Amino acid sequence: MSRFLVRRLLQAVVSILGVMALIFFLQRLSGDPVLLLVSEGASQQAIDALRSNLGFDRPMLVQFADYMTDLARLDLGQSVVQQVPVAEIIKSRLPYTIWLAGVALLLALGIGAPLGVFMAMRRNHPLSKLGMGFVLAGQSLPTFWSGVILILLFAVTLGWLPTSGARAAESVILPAFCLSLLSMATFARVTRTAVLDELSKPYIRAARAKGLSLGQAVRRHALRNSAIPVISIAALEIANLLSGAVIVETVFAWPGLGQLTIQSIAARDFPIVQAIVLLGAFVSILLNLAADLLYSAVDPRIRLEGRT
Amino acid sequence: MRLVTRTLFAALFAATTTLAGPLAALADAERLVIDLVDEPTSLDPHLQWNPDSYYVYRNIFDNLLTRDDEGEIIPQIATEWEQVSDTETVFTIRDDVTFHDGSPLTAEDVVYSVKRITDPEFGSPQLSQFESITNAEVLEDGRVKLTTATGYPALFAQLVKLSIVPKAIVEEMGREAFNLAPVGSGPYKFDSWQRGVEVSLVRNDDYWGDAGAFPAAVFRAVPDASTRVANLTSGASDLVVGMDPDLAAQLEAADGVSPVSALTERVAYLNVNRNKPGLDDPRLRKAIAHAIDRELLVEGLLGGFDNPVGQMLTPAHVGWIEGLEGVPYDPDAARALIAEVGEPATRPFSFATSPVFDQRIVQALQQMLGEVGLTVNIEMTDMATYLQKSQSPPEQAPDLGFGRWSCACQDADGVLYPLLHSSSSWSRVHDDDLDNLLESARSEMDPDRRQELYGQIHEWIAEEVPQVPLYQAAIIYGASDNLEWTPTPNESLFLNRMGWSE
Repeated sequence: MSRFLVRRLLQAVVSILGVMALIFFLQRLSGDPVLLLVSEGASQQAIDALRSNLGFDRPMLVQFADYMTDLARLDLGQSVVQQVPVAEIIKSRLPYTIWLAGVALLLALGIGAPLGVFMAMRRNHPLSKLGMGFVLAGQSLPTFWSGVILILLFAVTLGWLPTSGARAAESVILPAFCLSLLSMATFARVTRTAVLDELSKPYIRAARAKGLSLGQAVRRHALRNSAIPVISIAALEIANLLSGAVIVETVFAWPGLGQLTIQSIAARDFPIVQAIVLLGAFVSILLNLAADLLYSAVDPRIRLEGRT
Repeated sequence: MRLVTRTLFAALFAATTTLAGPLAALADAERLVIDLVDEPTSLDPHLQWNPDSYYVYRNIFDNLLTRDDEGEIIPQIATEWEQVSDTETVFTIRDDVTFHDGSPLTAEDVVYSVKRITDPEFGSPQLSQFESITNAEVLEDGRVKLTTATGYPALFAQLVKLSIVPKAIVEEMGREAFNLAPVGSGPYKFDSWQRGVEVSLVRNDDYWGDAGAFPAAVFRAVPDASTRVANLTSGASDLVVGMDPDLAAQLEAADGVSPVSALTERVAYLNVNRNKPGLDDPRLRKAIAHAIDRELLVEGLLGGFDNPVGQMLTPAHVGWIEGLEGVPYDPDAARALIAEVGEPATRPFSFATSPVFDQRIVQALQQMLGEVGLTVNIEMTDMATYLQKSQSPPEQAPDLGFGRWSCACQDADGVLYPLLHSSSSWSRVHDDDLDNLLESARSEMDPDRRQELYGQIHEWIAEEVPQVPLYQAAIIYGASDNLEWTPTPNESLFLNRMGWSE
């Protein structure tokens, strides 16, 4: 177990360093943000003054060395555009994204998984067919469209929920639902397949023969055994929720990291983009690790030492 | 598993209680809600240059001068000014202005503001707007003298954007803290800034000038245009920016809200790079100018909000000559000229654009040029790369490019000098006679003579076609019908010029 952890953590450090170097140089390949910052027709003297003020006139390797040194001191640098420490900006945005993705995950799992179980148990029920239709729709609707439709229906026409922003507690409902649609469909589909798979196994037949009803057999035996694929999908889905947040946050003016990512890339605010990528790399590595650990918790037959 | 679920719930609950603010108070006469595209990048008036920032901070800070709703330059912090020589102007400073902390605004603060923004070490993105000022000093009688390198009649047009910051407070707080909690002397005071969400201002009840009608105002960041429309129509906001003709039609159809538009001082144009093969022939450039139907662009695509122009300026600029039509739309003449040019006109021409611009216009231009027999390939890149291409040496720059130019000064010098003078990195033109004309016009203190010089420059442009002027761009807002407000060409949202009627 511990050898496994050490190896995984070392791998993580190497991949994070690689990601950081890649993002640092990729961004700078196509120039710097100075021309976006100055007013139109700025004289070359004014452009040069700002470029040197922001440090973009230094050789790229020097900039990289500076960046890595600061990073080693846990200093993420200062936003080029906003002139505020990056850590503060991330700190103010992160809770919104966690909150949005958390609610979306709960909705996706809370609606998607039971729907999947139902569709597995009652394959020919008309509601199951409706459920499949819902799954298909959830997977095919682009969020920039479904988001606007949700706003028009629930906020403008019915007036039940706020149109956008994050002023009130209920503001999260529409963006979270919109964000959860795709994952909800995935959970429903995966759960359905996993439960169907379990139901076809001999031990379920034995349980049914013993006199358990279908519902009892599913609750007592099949559910836990079909959890493994759902857990591994969940780890992937959290990553999907975070990247899906980029569009949903923009449509709903939700002040999370997704919106910040888009804006910072467009404005070439390199230090913020770097910090978000760093954070993303951390999160996806941690999620994968957590999923591996959860496997062994759910299924003791899986030995972590045996997996590399 | 149960523990995990319980922790998750606890975390979510904690998040709800921290994030849940009071219920969204609906916009009304007490509190004006304005939806911008993005939050301000900074509220230090000297540290950025973008509309979402100046929409907000122009209410917190006063400028040395300002423009009234008719566009005339009028006093603000300076009550009067006297041109003591071509290069020196002396300003009398109001003595009844206080900053929001109660300290008086003095001539020292004015001089400090000028020196701060013109210091290359400070790195202000607005530096080039004030670069002509070489010195600022307080005179013995308490007035302020600004010195420019040469005569510079556009100085006043630039000074309407010079925000006066309090020297003592800026020096005490430091750059970072001042940016987060700015203190000015304007009609509204900074109240709070919820990162990524909104900036709140409250009325300055001790303001020396016209007080605002609204006790409070909120500027929110709403990046998606359809969401801004939804906010406005549902009453969650009173004024939204960044509408286009299609959204304006939606607003037209909705109850209680309307599109409100103004013609700005932005001129849209087609750049023609005369340093590239084929385009070095003036006949081909003239043919390109003849091929463009500006009226059709404006009526067919822009919903009639914009205004076709035949000069590289707009009627909102000093230097605009009434009645000068430029090169007329004449596709037959264009075809004839292209036939004369022959083989060099047959190569494909690259046409640079960026997603920031209206792509329908770019495609329409491509089609218009195609109809007279030219092959044009659109090359779309992000804005930063597009700007870099515009700055690259003329021989490497794209053949054609779409642009929308604003000098935010409403003076011909801010448009024509950077685009045409050989010393400017934005210019693709190298012509000694034109350079002389631009330099004379920049420093000519006699308004009539200056106007004549710009007339000659417009004629040069119509003859040589370094650019094809297209239209004066409109800015379209969406507003509640209760809001009383006249938008102006300088794209400002002055809260103390807005009113409310039930």
